[in-house]
Amino acid sequence: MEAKYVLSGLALVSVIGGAVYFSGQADSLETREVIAPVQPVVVSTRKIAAETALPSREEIVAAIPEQWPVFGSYYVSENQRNQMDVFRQLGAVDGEKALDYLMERGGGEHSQAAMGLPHAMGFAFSGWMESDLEGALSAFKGFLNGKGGMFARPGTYMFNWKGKEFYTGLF
Amino acid sequence: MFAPQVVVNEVIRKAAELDPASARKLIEENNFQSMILSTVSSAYVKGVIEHTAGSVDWLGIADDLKNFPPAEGILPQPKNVPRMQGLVSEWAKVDPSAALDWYVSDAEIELNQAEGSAAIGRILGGVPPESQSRAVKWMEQAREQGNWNEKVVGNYGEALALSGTSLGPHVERAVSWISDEDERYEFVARFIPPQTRLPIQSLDGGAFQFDRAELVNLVHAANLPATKRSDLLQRIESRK
Repeated sequence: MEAKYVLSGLALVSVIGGAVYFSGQADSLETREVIAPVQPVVVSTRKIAAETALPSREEIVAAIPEQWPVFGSYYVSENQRNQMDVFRQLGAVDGEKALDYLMERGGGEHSQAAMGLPHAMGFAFSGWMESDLEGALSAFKGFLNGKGGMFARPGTYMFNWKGKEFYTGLF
Repeated sequence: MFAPQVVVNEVIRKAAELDPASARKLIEENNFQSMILSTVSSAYVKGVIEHTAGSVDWLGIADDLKNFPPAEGILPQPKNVPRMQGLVSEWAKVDPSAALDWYVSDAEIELNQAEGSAAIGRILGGVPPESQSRAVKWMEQAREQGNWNEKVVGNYGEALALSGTSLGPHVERAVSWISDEDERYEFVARFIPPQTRLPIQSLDGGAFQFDRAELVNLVHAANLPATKRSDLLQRIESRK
């Protein structure tokens, strides 16, 4: 019985997870798949993903979704973690340059990805740490404005990357 | 403002997975004062568990957590409850008795107080199905020893309804310890939420589904008056 519900639960996750994180983006997702078919980088568990060989940088970049996940809680489920694994992979292969790339691609107030930029960069840091723990942690200093700003005033920037402040979002 | 917390948690978790000492240094140097310290602690615990790959020194991690800088933040930190809860929740998944015995003793938790019963109930309900019988056994022993509040069972039911995937005889035993009829009804009703248009999901994405036969057994174990029993049985029947 348990296995049955676990399986049905997983099936629901894939459908509902897509609806939550890419709502209104179904067309762009389908378009991306047509234009740039890549091997899937989201696997059943993050643990497995971390233990398998990384895709090439080009494959990882092609797999980054148009709209980046945003979490409505500080709790990150395993399913959400799997969705973010593409950013960890980018950090693992590209280190500091991964964060530069994400800032360039996801930054800017008009960007669709801007809301998910800090989350993406956090997981890129995580990947960078796998190849250069000391360097990544050193770069992490100063990344948070005001030690995090959990209760930051509306309109204040919560993050800083190489002198460029960003993110005033609600999540 | 969850983004900073998500980022900090992930960085601390990964640092702890790779090198716990680096994670501790990061926490000590930054004292993420606007963060919810309990989730920072949980991230550290999860990372260390992955770092140790199976042979976890639970008491060693507890010492690490105790040495973290005191919270300067806004949220209250009663005793060790929030800081240690992540650790004990993970420990209880492996060994509920050892984890809870230590927690109750170390944090001086009073099971007959609301705060203590809520903390313990949440941990018990988060224990995975394969260890649930041991979790309930611990509750049973605590009950026999006195210093007990039935609210623990209600808190346990709340957490189990959110994270559990199966019920069984041990849950049926637990519901019988609740003396108040209305609370027994509420305990069971949590597992049979009213039908909604969309499937209700747990935080981890799993659908709330319990086996119909297990639910029926739980209703009967609750020993409710006919009207309440009938109401719950109808709810079960109406679910597809």
